[in-house]
Amino acid sequence: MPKVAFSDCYVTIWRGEDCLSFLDGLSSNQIINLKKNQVIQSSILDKNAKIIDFVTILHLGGFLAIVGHENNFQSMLDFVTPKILQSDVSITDISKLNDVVIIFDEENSVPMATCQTIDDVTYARIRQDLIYCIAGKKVNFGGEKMGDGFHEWRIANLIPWYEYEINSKSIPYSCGLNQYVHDSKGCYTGQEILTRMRTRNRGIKVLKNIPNSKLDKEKVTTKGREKSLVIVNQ
Amino acid sequence: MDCGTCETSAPLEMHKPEVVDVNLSISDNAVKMLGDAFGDDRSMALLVGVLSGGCSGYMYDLQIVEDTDVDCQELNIDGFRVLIPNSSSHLLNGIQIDYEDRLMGGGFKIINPNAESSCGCGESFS
Repeated sequence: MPKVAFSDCYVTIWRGEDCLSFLDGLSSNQIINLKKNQVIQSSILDKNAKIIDFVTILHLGGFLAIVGHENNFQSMLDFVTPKILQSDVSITDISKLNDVVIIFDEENSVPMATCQTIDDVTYARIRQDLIYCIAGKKVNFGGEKMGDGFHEWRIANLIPWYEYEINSKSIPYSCGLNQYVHDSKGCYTGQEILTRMRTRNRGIKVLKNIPNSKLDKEKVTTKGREKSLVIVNQ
Repeated sequence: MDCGTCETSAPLEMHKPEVVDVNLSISDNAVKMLGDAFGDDRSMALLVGVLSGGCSGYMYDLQIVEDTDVDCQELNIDGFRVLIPNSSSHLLNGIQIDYEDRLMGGGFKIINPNAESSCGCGESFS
């Protein structure tokens, strides 16, 4: 079973009545309708639509669990916490209590876009062949070091990843996160710029995998054995 | 998953801005429109708040309320009760509430000296 440790992630718990509406106002995907035991991914953007973090959000009933990239943790907090104001939102960092493991390239019984907890491990199916597992440290869930196998799978399936495609200089339309921009949800931070790009059809790029032998001047973001990920104009 | 409920994981320390005593003004046009909205009943108050979100990170939130549970400072401007939540007082000090009478993009406007930028529709600022 392809299982790798997402060792450079953070896990936070968000509690409070306003969590969903608060997050919805700051994220490119529509969060507001997320129901218990559902999972969704979204990018959190600054006003220039640059990515602060790309997060996975699990609705676990009384609270949300949010998984993001460790390197973005501080900028995420710096961006989010001043905006809480009078909203009922509190955030707890539980990264040290948990491991996050990614199961990829395998079918699983967890229904699509849902999460469920089995034997102290919370499974969240992001796509048909991608599951995030959040396990307490005591469970010792394991997972190999993230290496070539995972990145080859990413290249084949056009999955952008942190520090490769997703970084603070990119916007969702320039790093393969196009599907996480909701077209009609209304205002959120960075929305004005993304909407302008979309309506004028300018600057929107897509992620492609191209055989290494055919690479020309494209900017390679993830180099694979036979194919590589590149970002090209739509 | 270990959600930390049974552990000693404390919530992260939140950014708590200092509460400032808010000064604000209301333009003549806005006074007129508020007068129309309130009628003779001045027991109601204009709640001027800030929410997260909008294109630039913060959004203005104007409501006519009788009272609120939110911790607010109350001002009396031109005979109107104006409530400002203490949690967003640092973002609202010095604002002017204006009213623009236009078919498109009209309505109450906030002119905010604290805003570095605002979005096209003027409802959001950073």
